[in-house]
Amino acid sequence: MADVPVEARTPLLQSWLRPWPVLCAALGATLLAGLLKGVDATSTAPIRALLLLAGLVMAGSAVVKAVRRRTEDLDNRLEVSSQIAIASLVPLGAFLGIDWEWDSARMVLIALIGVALFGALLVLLPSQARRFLISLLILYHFGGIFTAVLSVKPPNAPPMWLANQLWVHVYQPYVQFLYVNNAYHFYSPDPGPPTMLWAHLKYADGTTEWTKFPDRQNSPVPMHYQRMLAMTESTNNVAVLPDVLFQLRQKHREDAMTAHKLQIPPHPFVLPNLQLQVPNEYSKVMVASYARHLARENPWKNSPGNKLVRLRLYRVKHEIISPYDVATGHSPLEKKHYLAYYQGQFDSEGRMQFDDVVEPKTQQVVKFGDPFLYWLIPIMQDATNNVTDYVEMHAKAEYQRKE
Amino acid sequence: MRQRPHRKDVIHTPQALPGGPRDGPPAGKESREGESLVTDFYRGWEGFWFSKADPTTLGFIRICAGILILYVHLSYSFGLMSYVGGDRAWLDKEAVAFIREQYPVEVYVWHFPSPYVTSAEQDPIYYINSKGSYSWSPFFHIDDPFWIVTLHIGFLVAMTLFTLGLWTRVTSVLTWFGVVSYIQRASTLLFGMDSMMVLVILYLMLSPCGDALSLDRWLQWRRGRKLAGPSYQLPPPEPSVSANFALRCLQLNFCIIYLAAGTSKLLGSLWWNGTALWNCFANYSFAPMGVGIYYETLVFLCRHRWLWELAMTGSAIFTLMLELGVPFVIWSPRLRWLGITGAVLLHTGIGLFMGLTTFSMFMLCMVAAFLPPEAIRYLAKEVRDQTGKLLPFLAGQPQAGKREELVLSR
Repeated sequence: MADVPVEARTPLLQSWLRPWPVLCAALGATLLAGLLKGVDATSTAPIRALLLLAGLVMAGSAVVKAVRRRTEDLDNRLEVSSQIAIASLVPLGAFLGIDWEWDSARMVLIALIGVALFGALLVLLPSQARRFLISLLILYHFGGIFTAVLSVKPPNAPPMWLANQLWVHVYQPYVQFLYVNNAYHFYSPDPGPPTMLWAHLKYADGTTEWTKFPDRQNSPVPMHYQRMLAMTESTNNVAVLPDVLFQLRQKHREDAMTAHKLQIPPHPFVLPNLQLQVPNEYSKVMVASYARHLARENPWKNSPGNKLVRLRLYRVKHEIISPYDVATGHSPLEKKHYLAYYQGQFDSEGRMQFDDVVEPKTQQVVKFGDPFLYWLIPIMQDATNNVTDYVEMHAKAEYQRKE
Repeated sequence: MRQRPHRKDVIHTPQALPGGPRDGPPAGKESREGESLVTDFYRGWEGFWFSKADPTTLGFIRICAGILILYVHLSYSFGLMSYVGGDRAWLDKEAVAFIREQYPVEVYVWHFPSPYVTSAEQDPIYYINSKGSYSWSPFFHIDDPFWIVTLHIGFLVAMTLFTLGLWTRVTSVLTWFGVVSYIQRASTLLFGMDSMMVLVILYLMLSPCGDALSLDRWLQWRRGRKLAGPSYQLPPPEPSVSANFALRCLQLNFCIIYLAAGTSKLLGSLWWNGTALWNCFANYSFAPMGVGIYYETLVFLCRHRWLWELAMTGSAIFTLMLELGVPFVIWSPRLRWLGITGAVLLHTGIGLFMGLTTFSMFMLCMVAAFLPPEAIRYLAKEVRDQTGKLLPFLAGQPQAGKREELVLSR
């Protein structure tokens, strides 16, 4: 038995749910939001937001209804196309009615206007032309996905020039807006060790504690743990350091060690040039943000008077245990598997202290700050499994006071 | 002896028949061959993208992906403010402003830099074209915890309705909007799973995924019964071009993901020497190394090098072959089961040994795009028979596929 025709089930409510009345209601809601903005923009903000959202949802459902009634007849195409075109007035009204500070919402509304107008054009076109246009869209979409795949820098070489140009000049807005910009290079070129973030917090009464991320035990759900694991990866982008700068930093560290009698030797099993890893600008911003978060979330301990004095952050690589170590009964949790790179000291507001002094125009470092900044602080384990934990020593040391 | 004309000529260039290849090419054959190639491509393209498909498979993917999306976003509820709560979030407003407005976009210069100059005179090989990104989210603009929680609940409701298939055309858009809103706001807390989630919901949003296995359909059936009487039977979901379009997008994107993952691994020395997967199996942050039997197995393998090498090299070869082979094998109806089974095995392994369960399940949702609707209908019928009236959206579904119809040829 065939489906019940739409016309056969049109009681009063159904007739009001046809595209035109719904579209009018959507436009009315948007208009009302605009009027309320004129009356009092601040106090009416939540109501306006709800009205705009309701308007957009109603416009969307009107478009769905209109498209469902679409046939290949020209008159019908004209009607449906005009309904969709008029529906684009709703995001346009919302664009005008929304607060100027909501810039990302305006971006979405512009996209909606574009989608509605493109949709109106698609409906209006005859079948072949419509398919041609959709085909172009398919090519554009998958071209963007391929560009995202190909514009990743391969090891020891620049990225593909064409993909880079296409990414910057053609695809960036599209793939970022839709978040289809993943390159899908999973576990390649080689799977590496995970990154962790260790924070050493010191309070006014002198007590200290470690907070480590990700922490499986303290994650309320497995997904939280995965997200923390992903978050720490954002601290892992390292800038290329010229040899001269490396040597200067090395001397700065050695001088400070002598001056403050804080002997933290280099790691014996890591190449010297890998023991200093200065993060790039992006990772510095991320580390600073995580420091501010930790400072806000841990303002005091035990009593409000016992305030956070400072925190020190370490980006820690948890090296993969070797098959030899597994065979000989070692644990992956032994301290020697952790490579901790010091990321700086932060105050109770999460502001970085003793940072390098940088000339604003050239972004060149004119004076080094903390002598251990961005250096690997070793944890060593000898043949008899005695551990010397310089990270613990460094975290508690007050060498900066003597600067 | 007269040569048989090529099959392609029989179908597409009947002009070539009388003479055939033995008689030499007729005048203008080159251009006709050219036309034939274009026509073939055009027909192939039309058939691939613009033929009609049953939306039942999409209905099944909607339910699976909807449950996963709901789980992912319910998990945001634990520590919601640390994800999206203005300055209380891990990524606070200052860091968000950097990503949105300051993050440099580097582009390589148009010309080849001269190699015959000193380093001081050397042209830069790239310059900063622009700064910032095209990210958007309502959570960029909302600080008040009350409104953040309200919006979160609103998104959860939309996602629930989408999973159930109620007002699916609208709730799918709201679900996509919700998914991207969290992703763009907490952009440093993402991993591969989020990319897969966005892809699945993007293509489902463009599809009639609510036309099958949904409350929308159940409402349609109930309305039909009300008007036409209890004997009313809902016809099967109507095949549509948009259903085919979404399925093709899912299938093609799945293949691109596999191909990119496979080819990028070929750059890795550990994939070449067969030891790459040790870094996954023995990665304490991912692998279940705290589980006794798992760790004991690793110890056993490490004490028997031959076994260790066989296990690691074997799994590396399996991964590479699968990721490089499936994008091609899966299009062949005869070999499709092989591709699907391999993908299911790979993602089960990833879920079990690397803890990326939701990622793997989203990938399996994409694999499901290769399943024929008959198989899904058969499954729906089985579930309906078992659950009776417990799952109302299965009522009014079309006739189930028969066992013999469960072939993966489309």
